[in-house]
Amino acid sequence: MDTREDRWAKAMRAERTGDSAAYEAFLRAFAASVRRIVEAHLRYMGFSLYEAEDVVQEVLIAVHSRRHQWDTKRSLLPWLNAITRYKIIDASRRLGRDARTRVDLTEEQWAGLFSFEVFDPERNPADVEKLISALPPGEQAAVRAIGLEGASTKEAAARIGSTEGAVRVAFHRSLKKLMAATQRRGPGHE
Amino acid sequence: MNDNRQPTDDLIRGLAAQAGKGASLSLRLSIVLPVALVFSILAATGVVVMIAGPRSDLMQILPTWTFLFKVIGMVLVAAGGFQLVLTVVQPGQAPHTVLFLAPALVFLLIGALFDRSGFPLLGVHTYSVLNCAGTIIMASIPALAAILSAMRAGTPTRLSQAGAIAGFLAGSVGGLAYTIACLNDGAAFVAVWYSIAIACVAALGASIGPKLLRW
Repeated sequence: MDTREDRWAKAMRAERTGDSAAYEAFLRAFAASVRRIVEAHLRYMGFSLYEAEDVVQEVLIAVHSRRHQWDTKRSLLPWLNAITRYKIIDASRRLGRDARTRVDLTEEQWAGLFSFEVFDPERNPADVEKLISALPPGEQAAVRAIGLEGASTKEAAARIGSTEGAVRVAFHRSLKKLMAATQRRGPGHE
Repeated sequence: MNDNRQPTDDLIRGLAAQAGKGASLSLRLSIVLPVALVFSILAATGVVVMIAGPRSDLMQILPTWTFLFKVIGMVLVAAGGFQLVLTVVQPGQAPHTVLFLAPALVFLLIGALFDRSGFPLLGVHTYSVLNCAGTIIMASIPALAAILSAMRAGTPTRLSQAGAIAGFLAGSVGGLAYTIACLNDGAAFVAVWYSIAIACVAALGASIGPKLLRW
């Protein structure tokens, strides 16, 4: 009774009799294993790891809501693997779509981004600070390091403790959000 | 990124609190799929009766070998297709395509090879092929809709494959229904043109599967 298959299958059977503790222990162990797979996959695909927990949660919910479909006479691991694989592919497609819209800015827009009036840190530091603080923590760190302090993606990655790819993605994503935010405020805003 | 995991921990506690609750969904699946199959057969028969009508000498040919060949062939194909559907809605189970379809393939192949009926491969009329394949495909459409929606009660994880299998089953149900109207009693005609019609419905299923079976 010490293979992962046996331990997890036992916990999944215990869940059916209402054993919350066994089920929770299983979900924790399973989540940790899914997290490793998701993070490796996102890194390989060049996506930000900030999405990893979302994907892990999607997998957990998918398994939980379909747990009664598992036939106890069959192996559990292939069942879990197929669901995990499906959700990871689904998430990759979604992130891929995000990535395509993310690079929709033109070269001029990229270049002109920080000379935007509202956006000029010299002229309106409080305003920029307000916009940046609205971003998720990872994107904040990236935009501060690269956009305000002029670090390269490599330096920024080293400072934040992340990968270069992740920083680049976070930076681009935050620029897009900042662009949208400044446009919402209107060009006449002081 | 450890603080990122806090929501996941909360989620796990919430899910664990639901242990032992919730009705058995696997039971639902084992009801929904056979119901969809029965509905498919009735709907396909209805379409065939409306479009083509049963052939006038249906009563006389019922006990003949040529008619039985078509019916048995299509029942075997549909049985294999249904087994494939049952497999593909369960995550982590590879459908044994060859194994499930072997009886039907062998039966149709032998029938076609030893076809001494003298019926032409292209049918008794110039429009036979189009008529046959067209009617089978039309008869399969409601069946395909029923089978795909029933499959949503399960958990397909390869959606194009699942859609193709749904189309395959729907096509074979359409073929089964068309036997009551089909005037071409040659085994080779049945083996070739029915199969092509089924393949068309399977291709249709594969193309719409990813959209309709997403969860």
